[in-house]
Amino acid sequence: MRIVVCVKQVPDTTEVRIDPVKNTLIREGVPSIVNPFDECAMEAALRFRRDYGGTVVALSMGPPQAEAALRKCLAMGADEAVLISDRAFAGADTLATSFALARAIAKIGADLIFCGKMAIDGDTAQVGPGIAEHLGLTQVTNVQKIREARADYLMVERVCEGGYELVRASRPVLLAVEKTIGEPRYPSVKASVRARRAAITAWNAADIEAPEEKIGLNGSPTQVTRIFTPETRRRSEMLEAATAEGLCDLLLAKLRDAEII
Amino acid sequence: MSLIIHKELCDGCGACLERCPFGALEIVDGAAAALETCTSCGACVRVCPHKAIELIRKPRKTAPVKIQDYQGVWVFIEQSDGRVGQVSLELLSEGRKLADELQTELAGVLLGDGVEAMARECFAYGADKVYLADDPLYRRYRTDAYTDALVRLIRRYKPAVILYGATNNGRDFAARIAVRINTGLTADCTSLAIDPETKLLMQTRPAFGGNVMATILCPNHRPQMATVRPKVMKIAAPDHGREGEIVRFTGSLSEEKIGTRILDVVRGLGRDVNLEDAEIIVSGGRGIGGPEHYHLIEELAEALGGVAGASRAAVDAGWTPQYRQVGQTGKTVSPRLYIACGISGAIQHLAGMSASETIVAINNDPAAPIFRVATYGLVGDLHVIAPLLTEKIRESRKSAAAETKVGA
Amino acid sequence: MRNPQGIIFLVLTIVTLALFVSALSRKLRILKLGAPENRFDNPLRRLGNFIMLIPLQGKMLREFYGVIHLFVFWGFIFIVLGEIPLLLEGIFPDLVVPLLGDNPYFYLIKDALSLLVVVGLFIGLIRRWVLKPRRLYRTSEAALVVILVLAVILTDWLVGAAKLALAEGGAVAAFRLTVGYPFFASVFLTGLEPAALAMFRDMVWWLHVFVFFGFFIYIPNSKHLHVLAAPFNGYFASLQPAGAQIPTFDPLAEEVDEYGVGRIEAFTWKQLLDSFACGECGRCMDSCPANLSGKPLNPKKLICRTLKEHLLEKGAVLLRHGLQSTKDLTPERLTELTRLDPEAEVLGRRLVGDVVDPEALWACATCGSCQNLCPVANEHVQKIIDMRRFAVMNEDNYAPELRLAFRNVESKFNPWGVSWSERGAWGKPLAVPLWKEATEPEYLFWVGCAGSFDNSAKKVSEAVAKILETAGVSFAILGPEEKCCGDFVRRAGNEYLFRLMAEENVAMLNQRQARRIVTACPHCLNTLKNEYPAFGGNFEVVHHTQLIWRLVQEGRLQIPAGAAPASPQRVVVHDSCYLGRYQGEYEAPRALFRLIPGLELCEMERHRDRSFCCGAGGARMWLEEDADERVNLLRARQALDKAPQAIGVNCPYCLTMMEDGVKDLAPDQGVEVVDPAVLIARLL
Repeated sequence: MRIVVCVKQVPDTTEVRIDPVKNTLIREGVPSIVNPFDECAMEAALRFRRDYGGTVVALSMGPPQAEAALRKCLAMGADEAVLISDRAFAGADTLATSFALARAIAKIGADLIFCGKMAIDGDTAQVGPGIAEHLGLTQVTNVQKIREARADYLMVERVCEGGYELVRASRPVLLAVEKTIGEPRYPSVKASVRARRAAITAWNAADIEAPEEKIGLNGSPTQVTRIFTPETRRRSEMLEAATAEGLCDLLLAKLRDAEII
Repeated sequence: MSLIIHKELCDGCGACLERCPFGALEIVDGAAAALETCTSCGACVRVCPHKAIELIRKPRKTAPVKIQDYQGVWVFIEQSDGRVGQVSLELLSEGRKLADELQTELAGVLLGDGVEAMARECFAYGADKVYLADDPLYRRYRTDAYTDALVRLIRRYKPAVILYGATNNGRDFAARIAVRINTGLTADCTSLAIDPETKLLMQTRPAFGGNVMATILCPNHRPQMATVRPKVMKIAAPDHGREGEIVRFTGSLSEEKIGTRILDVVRGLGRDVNLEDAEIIVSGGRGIGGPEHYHLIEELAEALGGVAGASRAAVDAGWTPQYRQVGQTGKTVSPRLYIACGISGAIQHLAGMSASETIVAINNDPAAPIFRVATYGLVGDLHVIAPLLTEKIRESRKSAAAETKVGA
Repeated sequence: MRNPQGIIFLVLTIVTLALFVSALSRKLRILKLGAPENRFDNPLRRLGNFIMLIPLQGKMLREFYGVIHLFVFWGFIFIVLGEIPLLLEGIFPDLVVPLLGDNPYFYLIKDALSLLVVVGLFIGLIRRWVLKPRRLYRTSEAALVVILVLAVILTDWLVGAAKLALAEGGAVAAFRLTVGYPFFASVFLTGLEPAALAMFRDMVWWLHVFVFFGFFIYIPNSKHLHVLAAPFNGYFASLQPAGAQIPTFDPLAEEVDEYGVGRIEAFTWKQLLDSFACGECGRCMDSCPANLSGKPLNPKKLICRTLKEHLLEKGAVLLRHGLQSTKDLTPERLTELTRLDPEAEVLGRRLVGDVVDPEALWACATCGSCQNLCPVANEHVQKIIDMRRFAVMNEDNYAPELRLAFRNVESKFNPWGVSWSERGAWGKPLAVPLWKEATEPEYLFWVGCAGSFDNSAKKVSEAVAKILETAGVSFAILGPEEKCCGDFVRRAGNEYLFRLMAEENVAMLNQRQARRIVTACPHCLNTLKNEYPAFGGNFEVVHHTQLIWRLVQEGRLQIPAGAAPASPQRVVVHDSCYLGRYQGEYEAPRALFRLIPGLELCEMERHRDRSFCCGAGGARMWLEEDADERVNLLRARQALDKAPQAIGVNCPYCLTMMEDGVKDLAPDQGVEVVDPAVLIARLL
């Protein structure tokens, strides 16, 4: 049984700063990381393998540098890694991205697919369901726990408002996981060293038989027309009032205005 | 490569470098050049003062849809436990404005089991029409059943715009619908508008962790679909006298074709959640003064429906157990609201909580570093402020509860 | 001596020598199980070390009881020399050994030293069994050796006395300057017949021979192997500066398939020799912050008991079965061996876990106090780091909070996981220039993680910036380009991550052409100065107190006279391990404090190279510590006992630890914890 985990290399968005003068993004030196949700998906897959067996294949789409993200997955414990990389993939929106990934998964041949809930640079949460649709698979998103696995179905907990649903999902299935599914492991040094030496399979658009009109910019219905930096940034504000009572009222008013309470 | 830079027009001013969100441009020999990391997003095209950058799209082999066939704005109505979801009311209010601008009708799409009565609410908030699929199959949201029904409806009635709440369920099946219909979907929008010239839906959303905003169009595919972040759009005043048309429809799937079954719904986990999952955390530090005062923290947390935490100083002093510790060697948290009481803000603590959305600091030392990360800072004695806050919150809860009773 | 006795003596000598040599060679073969290490370079410097440590007893003499050891050491040498003529009599009764046998001055010295040894041994007995200091073990081994040495000396005196009483010509001449022989002759042997005296002489001579031969055989078989091993350990002592003794290795290299030390024989032969050289004096445990705060680490016991006993036990089994190591020993083979030889069970014991308590391993703050005091140049710290390397790199078995710190260093380049891009933010209000934007500044100010992010340490960074500015020293910081130097990462045993950090930092510093670096963190100082050269980074690195003191001496920085200081008047100085013991710098921080008008400096009992660690070094900063027995509380109490208005520190770790200590012990006394730079900056 092959388990595919889809991972994305993303800039560490917590490290992206705005140049206060030019009002543009400062990206210089911002480290690239494995999307944290995908790290959790990786962790979930590794635990699944521990409990039920199988091989774990980490799959990513991106420029050649995205190999680093796959090496991290190998260090965590993935058995194999596949990078689909082609200039023709450039400019893909979630539709084109999920198509390309689905083609690669079809080529790998998997009956269980793990995705992170979303990527921290795009925040769309659309690629997982997109892949499932392209492959015609059952999907469960917002998975916080895998209760048990059987040959033909999984029992999982899906987060819903105020609790969770216990879902019986027929296999093959794609799961998009919440961070709460498990703290991703910090790879051991031995595994990191092994991963640095490991070979990574590289496929281009032709390898996965992805037609030109369905990938990259051409396969993307949406277009970004404008990117701008929002004006408001969080600032510290010292509340002042003559009495403690006044301070409290001021704070509660602020919190209510911001719809925090 | 679809991004073309006309070197003869480019003077290497670098305006595009600053704009590029991916850092994928550089100046080579006095002219801009795109790197491998270019995603052809087009952000640079508009800023170039010399119109030296062009985005070339290959001609499509597939025939584009007939755009003029698609009319109307739809809102997917989320419902659970006999109530229309808050986000759906927000979207109806917003959808009404869009529909008016497009001079078209607004329809709600309502799926469920015994939900017909909710159609009236949709009309009250602006819908002209409600497409209703009322069947036990749709009792709870399930990806396969809902996707199938919506796709069938879209193919039949061809709307121009569909809005979904960017909730777990909305995001779950909107992406599937987009693939099956082969159209675009913009996630988690915070602002929607109609381009006065092209009449296209301008969908604006945050990206890069909220560091930038992007406006996205879907020019050649229909419907134009977006999921919209809850609590962003304002709910208009309802008009309970408004009438509308109910159009019934059904999907094509039977139970055995649906890949998932919901065996149980477990609720009421709001209380004893752990710190990492808490939406609201109230933490106490060295400034509490002793274990006998820690109850002030717990009470405030309880009043807010949150969880009580502590800094390492309070844990080390033995005032509260270790599992409450927030910080470098404790838990890392990112709640919506974090209230730090009597915590000076040592780096080891900040490391564990500075990702919180809103931070309130209460400390009697105005120079305490915690104030530098706080959204709101209160200088004063926590032994006075914390109980006062608790009391005021409890009072307002009580009066709110009383109002609801009167209203009902 | 007549012939039959001569033959018996000859046989006895041969047997004794054989037993001695076989015991010694077994020890040598056990040492050879250890990993190779080149300690044969620089013979002249090594000889210098040897002379300082062994004949001159340099480290021993740092305390009163060391004088006794000096007497015992030299007494032992002369007694053994005296044995040469005495024993050769057994074979060649008429032989006179030149320089020794007929040399009255030799016997004078030997006699005097013998007396001092006897006195010294009695003082030692009283100390060990009456005063009972915790660092000395009251073992039967220790008692036995005292009895043996006393017996050797006493029998020698009696044999000599009998010779004098018999008026043997040679003896009368040779012993003419001595006191002991005539004393025993006159007190015990007056009025005896010559025949009785001769019989007495022969009997005591035989007794002496038996005692001495017994002692001779006992030495290589007991803890007193120390007397044979210590001189070699002195010669082979590390020649590296204290801060540059951690050897690196490349985890990515194909041939390295086991990281760190997880088997006793994976230590180098020199590391194993340490255990043989240990004299169990206990100086290390008496200054070990971990041991004194009740942690399970006892550096003395680790070296002379835990590791040594395991080495001897396992070494014996390995040699018996012709094995060099247990690295490739399969469980099946082990089971088979154990079936044939029950003692082979020791081969299955894990060094980290079964033999050494992992908690002891992680209690070490790498303060270096043990090594600094060790009279036989043992190297305790590297053994701990080697075993940590095994736990971290090989077994992936270590504390989760340390894992988090590693993860943070890897992703955010600082152990707290604060935003990497905020690193230079402290300098913004002061308009501290960034290196990449500055034009050829004189100094690169390496701020360090604490100086960049920790609020107390940031004040020191600000003070340093202000002082350099006032003194007209052009400088710049790296801002977000600076990354954790890796000090704690390395000492926590993660050489893999340390190399990554070191390589990145060195590449960046070289690319930016930094040559002269000033840093406010002694840990960064040590890493940049002593450890980066191995990665191609050669910089002139100074601590900020050193640079500021130099600026004052050169007249570039003037402290305004008569400035009214809002300063504490009584400051107790705390020496950080990594500026003090590791760099040998004690003066600069004190000199800076003395610049403050009206400031009175005072010292704690443990100061300068005997300073007591704050408890944060060696990755301890990132590990939880049992709240009852905190090292920083011990040290803060020592400081507060001096009733200071402030505690003077020079390291960000010390700053945090002492501040925490003061907050806990004396929250209302307003005792400040200050770096001298902060006080000076207040005057400018």
